Amino acid sequence: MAAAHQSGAPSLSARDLVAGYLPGIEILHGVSVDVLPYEVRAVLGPNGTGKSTLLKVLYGFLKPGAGEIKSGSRVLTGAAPHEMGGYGIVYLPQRPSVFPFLSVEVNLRLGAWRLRSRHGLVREKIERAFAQFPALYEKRHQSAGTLSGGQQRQLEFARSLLLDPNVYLIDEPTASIEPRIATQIYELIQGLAQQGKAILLVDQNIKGALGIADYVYVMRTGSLYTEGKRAEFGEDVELLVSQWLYTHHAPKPS
Amino acid sequence: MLDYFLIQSANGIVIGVIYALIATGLTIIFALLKIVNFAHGELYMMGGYFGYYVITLAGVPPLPAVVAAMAISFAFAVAIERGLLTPLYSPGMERKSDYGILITFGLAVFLRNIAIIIFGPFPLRPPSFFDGDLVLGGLIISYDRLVAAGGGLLILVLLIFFLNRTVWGQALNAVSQSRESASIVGINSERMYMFAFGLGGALAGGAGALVAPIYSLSPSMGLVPDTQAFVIVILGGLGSVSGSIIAGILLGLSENLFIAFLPDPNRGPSYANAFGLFIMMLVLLFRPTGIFGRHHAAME
Ligand SMILES: Nc1ncnc2c1ncn2[C@@H]1O[C@H](COP(=O)(O)OP(=O)(O)OP(=O)(O)O)[C@@H](O)[C@H]1O
Ligand SMILES: [Mg+2]
Repeated sequence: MAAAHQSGAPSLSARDLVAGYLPGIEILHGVSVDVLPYEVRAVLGPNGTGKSTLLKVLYGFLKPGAGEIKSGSRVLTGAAPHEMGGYGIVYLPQRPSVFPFLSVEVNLRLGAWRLRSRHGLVREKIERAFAQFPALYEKRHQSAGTLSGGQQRQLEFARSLLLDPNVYLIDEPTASIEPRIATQIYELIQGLAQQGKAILLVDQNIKGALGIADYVYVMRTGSLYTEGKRAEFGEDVELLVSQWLYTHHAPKPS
Repeated sequence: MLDYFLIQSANGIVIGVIYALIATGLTIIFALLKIVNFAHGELYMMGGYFGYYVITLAGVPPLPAVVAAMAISFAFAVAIERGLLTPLYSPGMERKSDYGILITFGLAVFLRNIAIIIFGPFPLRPPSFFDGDLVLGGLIISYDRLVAAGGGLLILVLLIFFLNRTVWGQALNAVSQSRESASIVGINSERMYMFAFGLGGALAGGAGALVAPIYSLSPSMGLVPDTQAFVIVILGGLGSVSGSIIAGILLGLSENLFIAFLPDPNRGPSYANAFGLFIMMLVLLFRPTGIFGRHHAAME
């Protein structure tokens, strides 16, 4: 939590997003979120509420039927996913997006695809990534698919850092990952926020996400149920959130 | 008898290398676009004619003409991809493989018939790469066959280097593994599909230009290698480039030896095709995922 650094202007903001996969079936019914530098913003909510869908829309995998996505004054609505890196946005989907049949090193090299003509720079950046993640260096010639779930996540982070992005969209980074590694991943995410990255973290691991969140969105069936600063929710926020999520008659906090 | 065996083996390897070129192109297209290109034999045929006209109309020597034929085939395949295959990429497209089969099958028929109109129905033979035969003891093999095999192997080696060692090759491979993950790192998958189809076309076209002085060109020349290429792609383990190369050479070799040792040599050639399919059935019976058994359709 690094509230002192807050600059105030969102790195990415979305207004009233409406989206769905199939005609006539709306999944998001008008969701607005802001992602700010130096902040981890958590999106919590039960299964199937549209948390992953929200990230897919933000990253351009799914075109919103209505609403707007902006980065500063630039409108990103309708931009293709492969262009997002150019706007400094990175996406770590729910299922790790490493290339399982390519080596760890080649995975990193592809992370620097945007810089492909600058060989020296790419090599330097990869060396730096290996210095930061020694476990990956040891396995650099191994196929990424042979890595443990936690290491695949590390590889994704290492890969994303090559381009020094400002916005991270992260979907359940610790699902089915052992607790010790999960803690490391949350520390990594928190560290990114401290460096000034803007982070939107979708999670089912309420405890883990709330441990590092500065701001919380709670979603329920395609809409925001409530939102607010993490600190404003006080001590029992974890209990409170699980009540919002899992009790239908829970009073809405004022 | 031993000489005959040697000659047939050498011929088998030559045709095997050509099969491998055709099949790797088919494999790359399959691995990226997830469609079977039924017009692949026709790209091979067109490549042969491109080479022929580069030699006869533009006066280019036969060897550089192979390179030119590959470049033209690349552009030709890209034009086909842009014109006919882009609907495959739209997220709303249903039954993509049906579309792929219908469109490429239709294209194959169209190209064969248009070739009869433009190039004529009669076989055309471009000049030799080098006249004469190499005689090594009992082994006699024409220089044209040596050039076809050597050129084909060179292309395959360059291809493997490209796929494994260059970032563009690795990006092709990445898209074949996951289009979504590829776009996350900033690769424009649609451009890679275009490139893959062009590359597949260039490989088939190069094969056509390499065999032209040996077998002559005809509008229907793609039919047989096309069937063989499907067999090879399946034997090689769908999507494996190295598997396709090895399976291609093995099929060419075993097919020729089969012809050589069939008791009735006059009928041999007409059984050759059936032989490939027979081998395929046999292999699949014991190894349903092909010789180089794999469980994913990504490229290697
Ligand atoms: N590709 C798809 N096609 C059609 N419907 C989909 C698709 N992906 C998700 N859905 C539907 O959209 C709704 C929201 O799914 P989404 O994955 O966004 O939920 P989620 O909040 O991320 O859930 P979880 O916590 O289980 O990951 C669900 O009802 C789901 O069935
Ligand atoms: Mg989800």
